[in-house]
Amino acid sequence: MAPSSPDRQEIHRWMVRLADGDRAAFPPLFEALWPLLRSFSRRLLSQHHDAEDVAQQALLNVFRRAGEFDPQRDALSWIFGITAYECKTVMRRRYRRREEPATPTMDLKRQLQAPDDTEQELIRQELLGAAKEVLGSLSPQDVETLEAAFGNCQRPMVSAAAFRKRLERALKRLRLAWRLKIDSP
Amino acid sequence: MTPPKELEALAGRARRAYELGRLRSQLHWATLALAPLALGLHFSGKTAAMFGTCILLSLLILALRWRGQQYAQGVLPGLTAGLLALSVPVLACSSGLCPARPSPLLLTLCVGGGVMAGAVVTLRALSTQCCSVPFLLAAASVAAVTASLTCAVAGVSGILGMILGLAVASSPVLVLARVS
Repeated sequence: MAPSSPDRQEIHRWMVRLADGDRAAFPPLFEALWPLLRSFSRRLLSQHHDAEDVAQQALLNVFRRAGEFDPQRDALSWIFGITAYECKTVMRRRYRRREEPATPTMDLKRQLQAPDDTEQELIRQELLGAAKEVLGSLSPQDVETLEAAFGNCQRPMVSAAAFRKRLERALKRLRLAWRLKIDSP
Repeated sequence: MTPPKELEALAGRARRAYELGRLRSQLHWATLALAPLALGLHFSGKTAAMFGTCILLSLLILALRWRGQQYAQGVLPGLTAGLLALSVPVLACSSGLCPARPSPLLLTLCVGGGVMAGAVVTLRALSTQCCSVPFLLAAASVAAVTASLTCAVAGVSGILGMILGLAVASSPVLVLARVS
């Protein structure tokens, strides 16, 4: 299989086989995961040399924990969860050194548009899925407020100050939900 | 693009991480050897031999769990079968049927226990999709080491008798597995 065209289900199957102890699944899984994790880390971290290190660390963590993988879970989400956690650790370290703010530097909107190959498509799907999941955990009013703020629907009939307050609260809850999502690999 | 040499080194590190992680995640299985050890210590005073066999059983369980697939699936049925074979002499001797020292009756009980263990392994192999040579070998070896904790009291003949009983009861399935 070409390393640039990994299929979500195929990755899941390899992961399940590896968790069961089938070593034959190691080489194709490694070939499929390395470019994926590298792209994912590059998108989350702005500095490429850090991204490469983080991708390596995440890859080692994925294989270290492969024996504990639960086949009921989606393998790719589990793998990206581990990688996102690694990225967050690096960002926290940078923040402690006051190199940059402890928030992801990626432009999420740019990430969700224009995938350039299969890997990017998988990552885009993963990010979209995570975003939908996080949005789904918010109350309907919060979702409506956020959509109105992004211009996707009409602004509710409230004063500008009330809307601003609502938006502030919705964003706070969104941030919390997103943090919870990426903190649980 | 990562150079091929670096990629190869990374694959090697990932493989080592996988094997070590796998070993660590299966460590708790080794504690299962404590149950037969408790029964064995209750039956016989040969503490050093009991602890030696227990360590051997722990290492065997750990190795099979680490290897995975059908080998790992054979551990629990093997341990169950071994506990059954182990408890036959324990029950017989604690109820006063035979003394806990080498005797023809104890030898017979060890052979009987081996046959029962073989039957359990066979039934388990037939009832699931595990009817394969690795599964049977793993289950039979775990059962044999477990049962030897008490059969060792009957001497080498006790252990050999138990293994013979186990082999006789499980060999038809082994042949079936090899043929299929």
